[in-house]
Amino acid sequence: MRITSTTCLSGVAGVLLAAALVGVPSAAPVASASTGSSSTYLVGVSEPVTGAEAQAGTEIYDGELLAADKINAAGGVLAHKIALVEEDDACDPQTSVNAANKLVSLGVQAMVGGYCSSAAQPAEAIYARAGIPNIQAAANSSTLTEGGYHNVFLIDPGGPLQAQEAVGLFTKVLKVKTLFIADDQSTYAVNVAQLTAKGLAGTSVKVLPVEAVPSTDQDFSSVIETVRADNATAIYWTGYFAQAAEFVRQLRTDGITIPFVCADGSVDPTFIKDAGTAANGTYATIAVLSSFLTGSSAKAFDSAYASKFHAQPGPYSAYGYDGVYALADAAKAAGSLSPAKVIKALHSLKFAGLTGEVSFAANGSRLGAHFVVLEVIGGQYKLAPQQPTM
Amino acid sequence: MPRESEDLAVPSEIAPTALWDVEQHAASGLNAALSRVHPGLPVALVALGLAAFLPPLVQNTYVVSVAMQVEILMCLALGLNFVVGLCGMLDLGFAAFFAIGSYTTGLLSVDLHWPILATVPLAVVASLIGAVFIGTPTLRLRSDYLAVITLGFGEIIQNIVTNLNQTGGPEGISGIAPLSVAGLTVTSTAGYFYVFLVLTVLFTWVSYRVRRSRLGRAWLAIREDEDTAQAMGIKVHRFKLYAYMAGSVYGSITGSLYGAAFIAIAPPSFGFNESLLVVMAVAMGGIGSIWGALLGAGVVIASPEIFRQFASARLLVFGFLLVLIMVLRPQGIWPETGLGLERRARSVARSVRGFARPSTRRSGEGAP
Amino acid sequence: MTWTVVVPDIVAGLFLGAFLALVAVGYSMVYGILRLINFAHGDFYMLAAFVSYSLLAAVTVGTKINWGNVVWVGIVTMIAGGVLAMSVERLVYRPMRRAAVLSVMIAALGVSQVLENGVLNIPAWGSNYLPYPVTPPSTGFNVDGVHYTWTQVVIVAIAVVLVTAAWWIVNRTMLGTAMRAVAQDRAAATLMGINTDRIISLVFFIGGALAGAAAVTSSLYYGQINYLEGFSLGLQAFTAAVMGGIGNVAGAAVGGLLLGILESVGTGQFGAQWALLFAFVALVLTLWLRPTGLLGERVAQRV
Repeated sequence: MRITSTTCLSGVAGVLLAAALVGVPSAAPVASASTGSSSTYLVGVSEPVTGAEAQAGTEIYDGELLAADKINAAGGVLAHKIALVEEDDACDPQTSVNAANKLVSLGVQAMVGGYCSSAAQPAEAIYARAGIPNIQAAANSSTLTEGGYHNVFLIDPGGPLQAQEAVGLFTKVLKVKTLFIADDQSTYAVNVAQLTAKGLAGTSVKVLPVEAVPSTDQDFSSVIETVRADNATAIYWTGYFAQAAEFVRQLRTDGITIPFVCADGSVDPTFIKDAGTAANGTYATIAVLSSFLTGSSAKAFDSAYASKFHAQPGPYSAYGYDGVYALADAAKAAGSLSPAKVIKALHSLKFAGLTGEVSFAANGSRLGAHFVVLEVIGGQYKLAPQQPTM
Repeated sequence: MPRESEDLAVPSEIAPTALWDVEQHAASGLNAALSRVHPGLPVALVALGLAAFLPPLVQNTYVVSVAMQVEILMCLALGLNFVVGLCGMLDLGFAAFFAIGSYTTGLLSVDLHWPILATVPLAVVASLIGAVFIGTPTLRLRSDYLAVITLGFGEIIQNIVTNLNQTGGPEGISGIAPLSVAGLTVTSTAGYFYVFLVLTVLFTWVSYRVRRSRLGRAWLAIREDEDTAQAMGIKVHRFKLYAYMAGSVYGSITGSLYGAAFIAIAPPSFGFNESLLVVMAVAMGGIGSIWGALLGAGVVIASPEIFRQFASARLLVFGFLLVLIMVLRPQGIWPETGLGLERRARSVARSVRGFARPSTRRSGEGAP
Repeated sequence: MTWTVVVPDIVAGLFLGAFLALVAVGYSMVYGILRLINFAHGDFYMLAAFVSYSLLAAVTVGTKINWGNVVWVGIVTMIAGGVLAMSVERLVYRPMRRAAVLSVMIAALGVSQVLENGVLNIPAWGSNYLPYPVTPPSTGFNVDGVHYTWTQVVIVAIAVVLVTAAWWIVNRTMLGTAMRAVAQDRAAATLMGINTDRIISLVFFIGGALAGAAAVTSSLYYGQINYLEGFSLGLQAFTAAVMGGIGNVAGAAVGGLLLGILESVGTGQFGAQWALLFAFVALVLTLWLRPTGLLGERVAQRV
């Protein structure tokens, strides 16, 4: 049977039209029971659902969902239940712009989410034009706060603080002679790598040229040869956990035992699982996370997350959680859900979140975060016995 | 199609001398003018009219934004159409020209504060240089090796802009100035929708004219049978290069304006995935056909957006759609041979005539 | 240029090249017989890896490696890879036999999307990097300060055996002659009494099986799998196949090894971020100097 042109055209048009009619009006809000739209606080979540960063997006979303459920169970925000609306930004500027436009057209009153800085940037203008709070859970490039938008708030403290912690670790605790820094070419990793290298200039630590490893690379043999040839005595990996696991695994198989430190993007239970015994003895720099606070709220986060999602929280789940709480607390402080008032309240907000004290500078960057060094001991993340700030 | 056969006959009084000469018929007058008009033109004008009123009609920034991205892909698809469609060369690295255009404009705008329009000619020159540099040694190769080389070229360009600090590294370039035309600065989504609408119309018109010119005809000849074309006196290699260059011009101009529209550009937007999107648009729409390229661009951009309701399965559904369309209609939705509506009309007319006047059955025509 | 790393880099590249060769041979064979750049081939590899993951996860108890399990899971995965490739050919490519090659390529892209996002949406698999249930031991030997494991040696040996088997099938058996006949001129082959459909299916099966073998060995070695790992590998395999000479089994193998070496040496000399660029520049130069690939192509000229 030959598919004629009219059949084909009408078929394609029909499918698309049907999908559009069904899909476009009803972007069903996910999350806790929401009654009528009049008593719902619609919050958009733009984050990677497809693509290479889908895992990070899931972790952020799950963290936010946990927070939203908890807040709703306690009565919601000013008697309104939070309803999260997720849209895929695929870590791509164009898709992110579409996601932002879609969320705005759905009438969200705030956006809490975001992982890739390059995707977040063009979307900023859209949220700013809509006048709603733009709370970035994980994206933290300094370019985001340089656009002059007053509605941008970064939960992730970003490069400078982490680099500071790393510098302290390498100079005071590990007393490294020659440091090998590698990133995965993502904005954040490059940022941390360069800031760390800069911070170590003038100290007794010799920093080798930063090695940029494409994020799709699985094989680290040649990189390891370079490490060996350059006589590095420690490694700082600022990329994501999957490659960290590969790197340290192959490193230890090759018999290289020098200290391996990673940045917070690698702090994930998957790192320990995938690296196996090679993970033991590795270090990580990270903003204080729930597991290491002794408060009851921190333990509650871990167990609640595990029981709801059957997985351990990822490195950015806590940021998503804090992002939603920041929004809720600001709305409560402002006594209103109106975006303009919430934005104003966010600027003067201060509360104790999972990732430390949450407050924002005038340009929206995060203040109050506190970084620590973790060590993997017996297959578990623990606070390293020696901290740089001691 | 009747129109095509008329065009093939060159009136002896008017022999085209330059490549870009479009054959003119000697007849004049309104009738003749009307007879020269492409039958699809009224439809095109209606579509254009609707498009022009889209923003005020829909009042939804999301729809306008998606429409703008459709237009961007339309422009790119029209460019690739010269290379893949008209000339039959498989180019898997078209995003390279898109990147060259965007980055040239981005760098000039952010580092030297040039106005956007002033950067466009430079972007075009840069991409032409790239096209000649890559095209000259490699267009001799068979289409499949060409595919790998062009793929490599695309990867090389993306690799370079990702790794060099001068191009902003992995973070890309941000803070590109908005487009200013005659004192008006375009900052809204609707504004850029119109900008790209104008560009699409311009590109479509140029493509149409080029296709009906000697240049376009030479390309078609090369596509159909390279050796015969060579025997007929067409300098195949040089014409292939022209196609590649034409495509690069379209790609770079689109890239320049893309930077202005999105304010920030980053390497991930210029990789193999982007090249594949353009190839998809051309192939799905109908290889070689201008309307096909436009339609294909629409389907490729709109589908993933429409499928957002499927959340994480949205690309899964898109993949199924892709396979379905290509298996069921491999020539594309609107191929060069047209939608076949005329053929349908003729077969309907014939069967009506057949009722009135029994004639010898013609086998094969209109058979399912 | 730092010379001390060149030799270890070459060896590392040979190892990486072993995986590339396995996938490239499959890519090349499919290309040779159908003139199709099968973008979904890398995803056959990926899906095979996930299948082997689930199988091994079901039968593995504790951390001690059971080589028997690995072997039979490996064989089952190869068969699964072959069947997957065959099914895709039957469902998608065969109906498009008469279509323009570009259209089939787009269909292959669609298949790739379906496979990748299918895995993404299966709850047991998903988007994360899953740790392979089995970790091979790292016992081995040292050469010049660099440690090589017996596992690596075994993996390379397996790759050599499989590629040789493929080469032998294509060049020394009646079946292979039929394959080459179909690749050269499909119509004439049919006239000669060859069941072209069956031959093409078989070629896809072999390609898929080789991808399956690559999947198990590389997952064993690298220890983690991810739903997007096929695409990059597929692209590299295609590049390797072209570099060695498209349609040519030995060429694909040589191309795979060469690409692995180029990437490794490129990383060592210029840094990991320039490795791919280095490889592609080498490819362009190769094709410039030898337009039909290093070992020459084995496809009919387009008349």
